[in-house]
Amino acid sequence: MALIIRLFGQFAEMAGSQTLEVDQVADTDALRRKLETMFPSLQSIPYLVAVDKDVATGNTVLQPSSVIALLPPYSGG
Amino acid sequence: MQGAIAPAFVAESIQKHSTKTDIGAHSIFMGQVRSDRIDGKTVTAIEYTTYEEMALEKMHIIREDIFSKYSLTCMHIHHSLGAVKAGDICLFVFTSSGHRKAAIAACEEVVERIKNELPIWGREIFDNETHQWKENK
Repeated sequence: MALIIRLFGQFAEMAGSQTLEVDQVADTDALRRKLETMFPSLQSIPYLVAVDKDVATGNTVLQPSSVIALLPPYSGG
Repeated sequence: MQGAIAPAFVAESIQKHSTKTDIGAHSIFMGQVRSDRIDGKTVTAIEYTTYEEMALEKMHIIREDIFSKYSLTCMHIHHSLGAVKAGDICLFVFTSSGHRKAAIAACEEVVERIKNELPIWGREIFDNETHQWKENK
């Protein structure tokens, strides 16, 4: 089972795509480790992971149905 | 809204409140795209994108919080999406209340929360056609 991750801002630009597919992981900590191994440049960006339109604070369990998004630092306003 | 917020739109918004005579104070904040100079390059525009479903949900929460905290008559918030040229308006926050303090405090709090909590990203376009991603300070 794969997770579809929505990408925004500089992440969508870096990936050249609005989504990224990764193998299912249990929680957001595992997802962060996986992504930072795949894309080491993420380690220096204070990005957020949103699960079902809420920013994950602390480790959050991921369901196959979770809507996951990778959010670079905000710059609205 | 798509593109810059026209000054005429701001004027019209003010005009629309003349029938609400319980209002005694308006507070308005407008964000304008600044032509920063970075490494010899000049910002000519900012292109905004968002995670719309999440931004709308967050905006709804901010709205509820502000209305329960301050005694406001009304509040209007508009943020640009897409390209906005340097010198043009990209954010318009408009709060109204019976007396000044609620309108002023609510307006400031909304602007801070928009900057910190809304998933919106600005891509700064330079005069040599390169760009960089902005980060809120």
